[in-house]
Amino acid sequence: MNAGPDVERLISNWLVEEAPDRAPDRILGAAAQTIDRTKQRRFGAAWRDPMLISTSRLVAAAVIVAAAVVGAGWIGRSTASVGDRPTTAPATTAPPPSGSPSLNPAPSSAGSVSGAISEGTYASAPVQVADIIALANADTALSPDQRTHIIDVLFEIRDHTTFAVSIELKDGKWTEKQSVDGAEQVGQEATYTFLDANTVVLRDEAGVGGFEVTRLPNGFTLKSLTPQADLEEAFAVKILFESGAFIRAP
Amino acid sequence: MEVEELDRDLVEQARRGDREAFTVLVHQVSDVLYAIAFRILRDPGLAEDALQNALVLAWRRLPRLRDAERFEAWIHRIVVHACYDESQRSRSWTANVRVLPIDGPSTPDGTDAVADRDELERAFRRLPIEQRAVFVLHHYLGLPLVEIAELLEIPAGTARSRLHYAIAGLRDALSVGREPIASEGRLA
Repeated sequence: MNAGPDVERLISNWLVEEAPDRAPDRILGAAAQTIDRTKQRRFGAAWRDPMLISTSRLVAAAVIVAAAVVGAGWIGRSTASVGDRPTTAPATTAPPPSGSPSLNPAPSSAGSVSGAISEGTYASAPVQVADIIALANADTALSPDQRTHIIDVLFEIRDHTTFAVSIELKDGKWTEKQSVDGAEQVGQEATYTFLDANTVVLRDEAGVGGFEVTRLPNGFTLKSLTPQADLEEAFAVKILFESGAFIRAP
Repeated sequence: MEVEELDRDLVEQARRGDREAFTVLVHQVSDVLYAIAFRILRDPGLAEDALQNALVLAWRRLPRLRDAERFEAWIHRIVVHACYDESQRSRSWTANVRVLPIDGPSTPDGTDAVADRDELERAFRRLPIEQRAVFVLHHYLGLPLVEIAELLEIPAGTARSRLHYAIAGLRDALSVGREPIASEGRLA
């Protein structure tokens, strides 16, 4: 058959006619179920600004991220050699950063901790929702609307009792989950890479970010390396990641 | 094709974490998203996966959408990228074996149109996924190339080039005629 002047019309007609136009209800239902268990990705707005990370760390992160993307699609892998490097002794204590909420003081990390952070699930101790709300109310930098946004949207904890965070490290993937009265929702999914024994870089759809990691005998504490875009997110990051230690779950 | 104008307030509510608002939005756009995914991927299973992944991603990323007016273009981009991911996944771990119908001369009753569609289908499946995406956005959604380029965050020249090669590939498939077949069927 020879292509004539109507071939483009033929192609357009074929494109319009040769496919269903209704999205299957069961797919919408499945998506809704997943969305019910998934939090919106809000934190790390500043992570898209690479200038907020030190230059040397940024360069190292870019190299590692680029290599991971080229080598394995967009999913990176944690560097296997971290565990073989000599580690520096972490600080003997890991107090929460100044100005941050103190919900669960980190245990002392006296003595050096060597080796990579092994894969597994690390959980923070559950905290009382009332304590989070009290901290938000005590933060004079937050407006009433911002406090409401934190409680009702970022954390969805109003009228609940306990709140906990866990981080799962598996196959190069970092999954942060938030648990409100035992009901879990996925907060962040990212690929992670250790630049060195005490610096982890995360990459997700929001961009690149990182934490300073202080290792403990059975876990670690985190300190965000980049400031957040606004006060609400800054408060949330401190509650999620900097309020206490993440201890390996049995 | 025309897309119903979405309620900007609904988008803003969904951005602020209102799941019900997002559900309403989903029902307004999901048919078009699925139509796009199917037309790009040409496989209902892959299109369903792409749609589901796109909707979850859209929920997660919605707080970062600065301009609610851009919601449609923004979610179209998400579904196109979800199609790219599905295409890559299906290539990497699935043999994707298809038995193609036997090619042969036109049927006596002159159903060249059906044969042309089969040929188009085969030719379309041979196009790179990026060319398919531009082709679908242009010929199905009716988007101009400049808008497609902006939507996909690619240079306008790249969008133009992809469309050009997509059309050329499809034209060739129709104008060259059917390939000779030695056996009863062939696997693709």
